[in-house]
Amino acid sequence: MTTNARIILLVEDNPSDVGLTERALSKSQIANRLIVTEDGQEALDYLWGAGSHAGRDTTDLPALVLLDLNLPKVTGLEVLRRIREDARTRRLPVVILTSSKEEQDIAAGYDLGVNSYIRKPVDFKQFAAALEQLGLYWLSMNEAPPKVKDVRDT
Amino acid sequence: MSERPAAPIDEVLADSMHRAQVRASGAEAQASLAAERQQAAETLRRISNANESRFRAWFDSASPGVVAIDETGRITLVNTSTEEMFGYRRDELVGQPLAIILPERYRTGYAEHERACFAHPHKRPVVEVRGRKKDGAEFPLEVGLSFVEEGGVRSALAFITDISERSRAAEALGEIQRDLMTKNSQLEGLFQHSPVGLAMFDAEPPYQVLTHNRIYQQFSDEPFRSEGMLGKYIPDYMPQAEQNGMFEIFREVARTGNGKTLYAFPYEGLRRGKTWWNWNLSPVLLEGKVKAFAHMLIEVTEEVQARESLAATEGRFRALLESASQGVLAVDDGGCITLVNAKTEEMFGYHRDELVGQPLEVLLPERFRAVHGDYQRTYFAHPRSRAMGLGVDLTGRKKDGSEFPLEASLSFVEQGESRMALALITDITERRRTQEALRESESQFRTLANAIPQLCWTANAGGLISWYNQRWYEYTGTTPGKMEGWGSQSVHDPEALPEVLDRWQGSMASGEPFDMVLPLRGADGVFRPFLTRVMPVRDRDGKVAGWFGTNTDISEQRKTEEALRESEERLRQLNAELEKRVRERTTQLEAANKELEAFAYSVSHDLRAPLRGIDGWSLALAEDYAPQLDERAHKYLDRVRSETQRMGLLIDALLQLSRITRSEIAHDTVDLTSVAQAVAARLREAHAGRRIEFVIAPELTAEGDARLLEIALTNLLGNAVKFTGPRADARIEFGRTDCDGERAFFVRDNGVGFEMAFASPLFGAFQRLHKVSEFPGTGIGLATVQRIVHRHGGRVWAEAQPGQGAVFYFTIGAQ
Repeated sequence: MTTNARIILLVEDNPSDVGLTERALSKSQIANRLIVTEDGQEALDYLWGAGSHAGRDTTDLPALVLLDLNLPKVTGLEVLRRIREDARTRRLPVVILTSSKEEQDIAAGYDLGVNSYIRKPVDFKQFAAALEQLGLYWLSMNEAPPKVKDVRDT
Repeated sequence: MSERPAAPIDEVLADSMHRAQVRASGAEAQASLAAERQQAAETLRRISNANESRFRAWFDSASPGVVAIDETGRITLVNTSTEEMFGYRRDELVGQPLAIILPERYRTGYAEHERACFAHPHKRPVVEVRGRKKDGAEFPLEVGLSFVEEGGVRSALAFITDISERSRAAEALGEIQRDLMTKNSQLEGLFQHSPVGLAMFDAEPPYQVLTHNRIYQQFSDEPFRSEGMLGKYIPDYMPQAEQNGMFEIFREVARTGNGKTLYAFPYEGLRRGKTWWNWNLSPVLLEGKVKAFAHMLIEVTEEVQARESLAATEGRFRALLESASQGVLAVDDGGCITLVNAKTEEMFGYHRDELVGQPLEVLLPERFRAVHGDYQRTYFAHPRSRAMGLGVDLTGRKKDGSEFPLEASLSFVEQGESRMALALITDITERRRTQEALRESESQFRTLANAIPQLCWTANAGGLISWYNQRWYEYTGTTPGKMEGWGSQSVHDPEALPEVLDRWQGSMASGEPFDMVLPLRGADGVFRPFLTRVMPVRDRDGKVAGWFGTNTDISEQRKTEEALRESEERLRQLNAELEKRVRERTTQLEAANKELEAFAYSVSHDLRAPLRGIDGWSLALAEDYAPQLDERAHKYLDRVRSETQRMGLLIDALLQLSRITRSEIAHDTVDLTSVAQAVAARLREAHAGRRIEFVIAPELTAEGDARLLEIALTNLLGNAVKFTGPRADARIEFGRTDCDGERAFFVRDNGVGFEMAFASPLFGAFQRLHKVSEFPGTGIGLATVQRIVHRHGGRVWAEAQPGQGAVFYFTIGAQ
């Protein structure tokens, strides 16, 4: 499986931010397919093949999850906690991408095992530059974690 | 006796008589005497035919009495000796029974004896009987009977010997024997019961005991036994003999042959413990060798003990005398000193040798000597014991001439001829001084007691008040007369009195101090509360000798206390109210803080997101529709974007400000010099094109939160850099100075400064003194500085003049 084929899961409820993220990724020549889930529950459904994503091949995990914190239904930190609790998604690279730089959020994110914490700058150029570096690092430089077997069978 | 013996009868008879006589005077061989006498009779018969006259003569001259009796017992013949012996004439005797010469009590017995003799005529032993003279006197005699048979006629010759002399001698001998025996037993008694212990024993070890008396047994460890120690050995009876050194003496006497006398020889036995003996051990010599010892002992235990006890008594008396705390002095009736003890020596400074034999006056000042001499003579004339110095000042004179007051008691001692006065002398200098001090202290006490504002008084051990101070009379308006006895009760409140008396009795019983607030009536009739304290005054033995009481008027104190209580109560209420308010405010503040936190959170999330949209989409417009937009449109879009970004900065600044308010503050020692240097370095880098001189004072430290202080310094130094922008020679100084006694840090610049008139809102959020176009900024920086300084318990202020630069001061805590 090539890097290009891997999915980036964006968990973001603000359509403007989704648009800007898509724009920044495309400007940064990151060709991975972007799947957007607009709330935390949907993100988890997607990852575990549940709800509206029932039947999805759950072994096909995204290459990277870009997680906003301020989400409807299930908050970003809660999504992170559940991802880390589940053996299937435990090793999934998750980057928090949010407007907040409250210490408590940053600390909680790392405590729950986030891989990176990026604050979205107001200046779009800076935002685009940040996403470019992010993509470069996680999608090509970083060695992806090995696939997790379906622990439900074991 | 009709026939007369023939010659040579003289010789025969003489021989026979002689032998009889010899026999009669001897004590032995009486048995053969009868035979010999019979032989004599035979001879006599044979010579009866001889010369009758010669026979007569011999017969009469025969020394023993010879009496012839016929068979009927009648006397037929008597010789001269017999006449003499019995005091009868022979004609008075012839024809009479022989019994006539016997005392009547023997006559019957004799008659039977005679008959028996005639019935069996043979030799009869000589018998001793008593003779009876004519005058009735009795004397001892010896009778031997010889039988004569001639021609069928039997007769008997009785030879009678007066044995008075012999008897007397025998008696004398018996007497002597009896006497000897008596003496012997007396001697034995004397030996046995002698108060002196006597013994003899073998001179060779182990010293067999030959004899000893009863007292000697006292010396041994065995109780007395009648069989004594005879045949035993000394170690059997005195196991301690060797230990007590007895044998050593034995050996010495045995060796030298000289007796040894010891006085008060101590002997420690098992039975009686330690005893003392006067000893004499004499050797008994035989053929020049010591064969035995004669041991003589007298117990002197009691004497030794008495002597020892006497010595001890005397020693004790001497020690007592010498250690007496009083001077002891004896004076004979001549007025001379005879005895002095150590205390007297010490008291007068003389050695006893200098005093004994001297007249007593030597110890008196000269002016008293004559009078004392008279006094002394009077005393010996009418001696009696008395204590001197009672009411009289006696004065002693020391060797160095100094004088001191003394007290002396006198006793008169008469011992045989000698009369003496014994004086006990006490130096009363100290007592005088004490009395003086006591008087002075008493006077001071009265002065003090009358000077103090308290009422005070003293009572005896029984609680009866004996003295009041002046203040008592002033307050109560009473007089000493009214206070006599239990008069003080009249000033007590009758309602309180029972309790007062009850507790006062309790104190007196226990000896504990009395402490009570009680009302006393003043001269004005008003009862006021008095704090009453009564302390026991104890004598040297710790016994309560009296009481000292004070009464302190505490009515003012009571009022003050009341007022204080009221004000305390008010204060307490105020405090409670204040605390309540503080609690309310705290609650409100906490709520506000929470709101602020929520606000800050939503600001950081929700306000920034749209800004990013505005910025992003403006850029997208500018990029994607660049050809359709003219230059002005692009310029507007740039403005949209720059304002958006400025808003982002403002939001960030606001967030920082709120975070400073909310965050916990640390308390460390912060090296402000280093912090300022680090900040300066960053600023210099950020403004690489400018020439900026930083002057940072060394070794500046403060107690506080390093992170917050760095933010404050960043803002202040950053401002200084910003406002010196127009100057080519920017100079920025960080240091510490004294401001009205307060140590303050300062940041001084030579920048554009500002008008002090506008300085008041300087530290408010979003307050700016300059145009954004001139000096960009959020207007949050100084507000942040102020908040940080406030959180450190300090204050911040500024001094400036337009064009002259500005100085920002801040303090950290109470420096």
